[in-house]
Amino acid sequence: MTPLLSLDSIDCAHKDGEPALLSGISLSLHAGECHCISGATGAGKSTLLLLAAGLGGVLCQGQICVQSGVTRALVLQDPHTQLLRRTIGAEVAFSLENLGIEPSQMPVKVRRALQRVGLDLPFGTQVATLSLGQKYRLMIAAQLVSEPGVLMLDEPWAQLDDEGVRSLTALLMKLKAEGMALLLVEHHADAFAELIDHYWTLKAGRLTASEIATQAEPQPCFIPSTAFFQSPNAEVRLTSPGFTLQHSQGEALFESPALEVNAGELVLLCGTNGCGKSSLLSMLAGCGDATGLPVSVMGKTPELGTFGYNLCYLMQRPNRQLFEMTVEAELSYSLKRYGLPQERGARVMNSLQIAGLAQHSPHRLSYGQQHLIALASLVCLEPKVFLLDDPFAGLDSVHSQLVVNLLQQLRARGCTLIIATHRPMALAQSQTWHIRNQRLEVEYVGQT
Amino acid sequence: MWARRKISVVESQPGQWCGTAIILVTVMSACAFLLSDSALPLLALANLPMLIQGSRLGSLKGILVVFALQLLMTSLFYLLLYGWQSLPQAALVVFRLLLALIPGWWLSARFAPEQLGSSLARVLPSKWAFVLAATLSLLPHIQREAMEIYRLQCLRGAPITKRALRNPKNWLELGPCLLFPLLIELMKLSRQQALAAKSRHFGTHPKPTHWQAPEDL
Amino acid sequence: MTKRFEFSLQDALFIGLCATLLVALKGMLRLKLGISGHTMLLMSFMYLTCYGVVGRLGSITLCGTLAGLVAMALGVGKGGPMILLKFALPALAMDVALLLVMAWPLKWRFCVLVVSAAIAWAGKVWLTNMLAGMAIEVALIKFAISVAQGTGFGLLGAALAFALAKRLQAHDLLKMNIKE
Repeated sequence: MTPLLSLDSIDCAHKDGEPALLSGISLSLHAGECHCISGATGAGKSTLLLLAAGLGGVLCQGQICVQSGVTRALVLQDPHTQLLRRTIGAEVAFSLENLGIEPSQMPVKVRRALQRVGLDLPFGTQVATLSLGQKYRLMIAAQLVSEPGVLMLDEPWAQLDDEGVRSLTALLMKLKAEGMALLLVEHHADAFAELIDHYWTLKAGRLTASEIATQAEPQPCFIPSTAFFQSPNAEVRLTSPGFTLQHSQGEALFESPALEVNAGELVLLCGTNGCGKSSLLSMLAGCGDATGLPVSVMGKTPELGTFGYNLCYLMQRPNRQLFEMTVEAELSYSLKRYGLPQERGARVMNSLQIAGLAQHSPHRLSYGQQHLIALASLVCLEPKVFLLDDPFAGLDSVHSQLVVNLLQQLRARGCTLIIATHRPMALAQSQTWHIRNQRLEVEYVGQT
Repeated sequence: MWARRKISVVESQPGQWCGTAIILVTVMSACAFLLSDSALPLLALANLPMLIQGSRLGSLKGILVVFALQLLMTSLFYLLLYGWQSLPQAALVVFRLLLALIPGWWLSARFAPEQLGSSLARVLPSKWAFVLAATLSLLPHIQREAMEIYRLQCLRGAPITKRALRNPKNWLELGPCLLFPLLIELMKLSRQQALAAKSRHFGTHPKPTHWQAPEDL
Repeated sequence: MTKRFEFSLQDALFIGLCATLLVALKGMLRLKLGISGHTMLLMSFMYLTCYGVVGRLGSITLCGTLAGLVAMALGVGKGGPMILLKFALPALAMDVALLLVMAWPLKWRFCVLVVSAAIAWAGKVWLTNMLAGMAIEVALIKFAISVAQGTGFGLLGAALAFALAKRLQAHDLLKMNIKE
């Protein structure tokens, strides 16, 4: 059987003279097959996917063959930067417009694509009001409308909560049964195990096949540290008699019971996408839209600039904060501003084994390295309270474990850590805050 | 996840009226400069409904401040150069400028940005129409990014909090701390959007068509 | 549009995003300095940065035109068709001036572009005032004040754009060579 898409001996480099990013890559996709490529952060998985989709901007040798009449569709990572229109009808029709399809023929095709992904809503539905899982399906509908033979997805696991992954798997199973070839790039291949026929690993630019799923990414491992928070003299870092957190538009996100968190505690904040985790962390850091709530952090009402270096907040995509010319300067910036010892920067770099990058531009490094540097620039402040929003997103197990090691050092010094994540994890936490059904529920772990 | 979200639906808007309004506003603004003094009261009368509707939809404050500042500055110059007797002439000049401003102000109060954007996009080449529509729809995202980067940097100790910015010495910090990371984000965003558009066949057909919600057909 | 002025979709989107950011910053900051001309600070900064990153003749005019259209759509600066000229004219003047000083060092190139933008920006005010029937002496005084204020603020914006361009080049994110 002729493959729908085949890559034959592909060699790639970003620039002439640079070492090869991909070397001797060969891959064939047949109708009704699902292939999954795994690999470490920065291994070149996304580059390979772009090449397979015919959108690669890198120097390349080799051959890419597409069966006549077969179109390729690619769903990239972040839905927020890929959705181009305001309403779902216009969003799905975008491909049809570009193919010059008559406007009178569009509604039927758009409706069919929306039905295929289970998003049978009115055409005028605003994209902004959809949940992240629905936006992801909308992106797939926007590709299905042009009836592709091959569908490629870049790391869907990181974007979706467990419910989103389940519904996406069901949808992909249906498409596969209809004869579509699927190509996934995914760290967490195990999440889509029922779907995948062929597993591949990309390492050092080479693609190697494996008969079974590569071992699931090990979860980062925290060592329990209870010395601080279980002491009767433990300092109270966060306290509240209970509150209702609202959107800036006034819509209630969730109700919270009384909260108390001590020095050295690790709180895991869990909930599905959009449940209000980030809003809660922003409120605690004093930089959210919600103000005037009965919450006390280190004895003060949260307000931007109140806590100085005692409170740090790692937002999602922390590489956004990088601006200095070198990694060393990036770490020194906050230390200088707060008048703290400069040698802390070097110490943190050594413990992360990135001292060799000290004079590099942060913007020339990989995503994982940028993530670590942004985190290191906060860790060296040695805060008393550290809020982290999805700190493991997009990181492979090696980088994740480095993040954990850094946090472990902080916790050992009595720092209170509050980590938000859309999946429950075993991080040796002292409390787990679950946000479900618009309520925050507190679960005390390992305490009598 | 499905039930929790309040889904809002946009009713299809008649786009032609918006296009006509843009032409009307351009003509009326031009009339403020071109008509004779004697015809100005008629033009003012035509502006009156716009003023009433615009003040109901938005605030009059901005346009009144511009009018007051213009009147003050122009009257001062006329007074210094030509004496008291020239003040009515100064008032007439400022009145003309006000009549030129009112239609544009009404247009932005009366129509939503996306309606104006799509009407303006009709006269642009398809690539630039797409760019205009995409960037307009990305505006909330850009504002959110700017605000988040600002907060990130404040928490890192950058002297750009409202209080710190009272000292002009700290204004320069806005460049490297806020604008530089924001520009890098815009670069990434433009790359991702270009990829997203190309993955949906953008630029493959010489004459792309336009989606019309079924109500418009 | 001829091939010479064809921009890649990525560059076109970056130009559009710069234009939107310019209008958003103008709307967000609402600089209440009580002095006219402060828009020139943002305008020169954004136009010159856009030129630095895209590195092509015509990018400033496109950025200015799109900023005018976005401002018109969003109702920034009282909205209406007049705002289009306010953003587009200085941008066009910058591109025209760029034709003459293309080979100059970047610092001096930026200065010339700012002065030409300030003249165009003040020229629009002058033309509007003349059409409204203002006495020529008053219109000229206002024009001179506008040029001075526009140049002052514009040079501040250019200094900021130059510093950022150097930083972008250090990170290998600039298409144009600063030392060229």
